[in-house]
Amino acid sequence: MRVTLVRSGGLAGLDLVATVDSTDLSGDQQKVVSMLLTKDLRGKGVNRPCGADQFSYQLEIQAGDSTVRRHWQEPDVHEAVRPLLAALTRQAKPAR
Amino acid sequence: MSYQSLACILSPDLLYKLAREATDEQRLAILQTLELDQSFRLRRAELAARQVPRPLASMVVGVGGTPDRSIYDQGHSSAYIPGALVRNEGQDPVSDVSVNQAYDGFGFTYRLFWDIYHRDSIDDQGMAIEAMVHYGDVYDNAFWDGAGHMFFGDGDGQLLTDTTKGLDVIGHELTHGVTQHEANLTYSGQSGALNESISDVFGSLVKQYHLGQSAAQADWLIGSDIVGPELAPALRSMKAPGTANKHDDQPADMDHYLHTSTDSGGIHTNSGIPNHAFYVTSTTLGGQAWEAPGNIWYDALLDPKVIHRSTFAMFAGVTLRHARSRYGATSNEAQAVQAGWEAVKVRVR
Repeated sequence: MRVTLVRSGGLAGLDLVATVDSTDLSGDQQKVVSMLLTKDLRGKGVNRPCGADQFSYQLEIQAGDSTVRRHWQEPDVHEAVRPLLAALTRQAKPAR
Repeated sequence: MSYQSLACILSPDLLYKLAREATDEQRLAILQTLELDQSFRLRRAELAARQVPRPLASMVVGVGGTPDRSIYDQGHSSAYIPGALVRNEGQDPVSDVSVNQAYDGFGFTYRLFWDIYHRDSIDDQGMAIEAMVHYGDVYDNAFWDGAGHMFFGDGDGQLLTDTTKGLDVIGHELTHGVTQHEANLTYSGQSGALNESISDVFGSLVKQYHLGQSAAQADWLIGSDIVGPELAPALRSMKAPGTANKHDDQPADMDHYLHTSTDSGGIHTNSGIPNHAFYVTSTTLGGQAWEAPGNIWYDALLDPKVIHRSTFAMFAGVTLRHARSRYGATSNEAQAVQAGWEAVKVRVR
């Protein structure tokens, strides 16, 4: 599966992009990717007030002919998804 | 046109009751009336709330003038609940540099708002200033959480470094709280870019006021003290949008407004336009930017005509009205404001 992360927003307002093959991820992270194909995992922060300068994340998973997109504002990120986003962010580069 | 007797001035409760018993045609008319009525009620409520006299606390002589700071150490957690309280108001500096930088930075920020704009903290009622430092793991960001707290990461060393080091950044985040309590500009599109710009404006003014710089002496850079090599020399430039770093794509005028779906409609990008308007206003007028330009922008932020979905043009119109009202219709101040918005091609309404 091909996994693409776009992180945008933040104080710098800089878009970071990373695209990886899921086989390059750790075993735990691959499991999360598989879960996200069928579940929209959301954290406890969904009811938090709207802040400013926080990140938003868009994750696109291409599996065969199908594409799944998940989108989170920073407070909404599920704890199980955080390590995946962190790993992808470490590999991400500015989009411009 | 038939006269819909059921859609006259009646209470919403009565209209709902009537709608349940009405014919299809009458029900449609009633529901349309209710929808229109609700929009008027919301607008009146918003205007009424904005025109309520300021709470007496900030108007009584002797009240206000002292910040109430609390700095928490999040210990690199990504949780939103406060970590260990490490420095309270009035306490001596501690060994942690980030804690002291946050404490001092919020003190300088409070000073600008109190000394110049007579505002007692974020809500003008002495609201506690609560900063959470060492947030997250190599977290390259700082943010306002919308619930009265500001979070600061230590940076990743490439994009950003310790975000408590930037006085303009600290001022930027606190100003998001001020905006939330005043115009509450929606954080997307033009209103979101305006929200961002207002934070850059007052963040920059905090730094200029602390350093005693005139508009001509200031560098008008945002975040120059916190950027890593990838974003050097700064996050943004109010003087020359688009030149702050190799990734900076801020426009300097409306001809280059960026239409995008990322970053809530490019709010950190398009903020370059009103940022530059403020810079032109300040340098055209000369002197210290926190005085006339800052007062005009602050007055506009508090004006009930600046609503949550205000556009650049709407805000520009309010700034010009305040400049004329405060300083005179043909004053240098009013002309400088006009020049600022003309420079960025925002039509003043």
